[in-house]
Amino acid sequence: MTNLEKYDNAFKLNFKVSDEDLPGLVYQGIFEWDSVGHMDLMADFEAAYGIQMSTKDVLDFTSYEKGKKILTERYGVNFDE
Amino acid sequence: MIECIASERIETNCYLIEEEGHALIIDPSCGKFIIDKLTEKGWEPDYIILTHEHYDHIWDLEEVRDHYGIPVIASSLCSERVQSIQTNLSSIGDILIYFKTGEEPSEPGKRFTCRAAEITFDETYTMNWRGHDFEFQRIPGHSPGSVLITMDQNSVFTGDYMIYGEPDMTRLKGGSKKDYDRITLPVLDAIPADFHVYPGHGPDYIKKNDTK
Repeated sequence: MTNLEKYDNAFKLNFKVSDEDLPGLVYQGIFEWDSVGHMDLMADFEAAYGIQMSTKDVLDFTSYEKGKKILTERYGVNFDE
Repeated sequence: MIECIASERIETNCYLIEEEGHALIIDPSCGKFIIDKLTEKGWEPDYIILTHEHYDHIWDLEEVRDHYGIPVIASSLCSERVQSIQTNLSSIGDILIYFKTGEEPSEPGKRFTCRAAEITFDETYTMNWRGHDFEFQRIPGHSPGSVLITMDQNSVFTGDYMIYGEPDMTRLKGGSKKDYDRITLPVLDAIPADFHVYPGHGPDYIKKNDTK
């Protein structure tokens, strides 16, 4: 499974959304992505990529697109593999 | 005698039950205060008991168990899940605190694991401790390893269920609304009125007919 597939799957499994829902998805934009859903999502990324995210990065992770940027720039997750 | 110590970090209740100068420790969330209190009272602890595996309830488990060299009682799933930062939720502890308090923790929280419990059970367990009858029953939903502890048919220690004024939470990682509805809710509803409820957060209270 590629890093992008892991990334997308975390959203899809946690929030019961489909591929077409992912672009533009934002924190608190849907019921499931509230504070509890956010914690679950972050825990899944930490487990999937073997990283430990800082509190600041977790709080800055406010959209599907921004999350990719944070994971790439701060944790070296390559989504182009 | 039952004493409650609430940890500063996330206000998780630790209960000390005393009889004949001995004590049980339920959820060692604040090691220094537990040890200080037991020392001050001159109580000798016999067991540590866990209501469930979440990090705020086991924050100082290793410190307390090493200090006293006493066994830990927990459900098998709780025992298994305290051994991982993902399943004990310490990996997201700081974020939980932020969402609960609106403030970032003043210092980063520890990500930690604990060793397995010495005494485990799958679904139920009973013991008599210094004249007190205890029944343990696994009640999943909030977490797979959650346990209801009934003492002397008049008191219950409920962990993160039946927190006064708050709905039971099943959405954290490992939680299950399905298990909660099917297994746990009937058990909680069957707790008789007038039982003393000691939850993992907030005040203790007497159960009324119209409340869980």
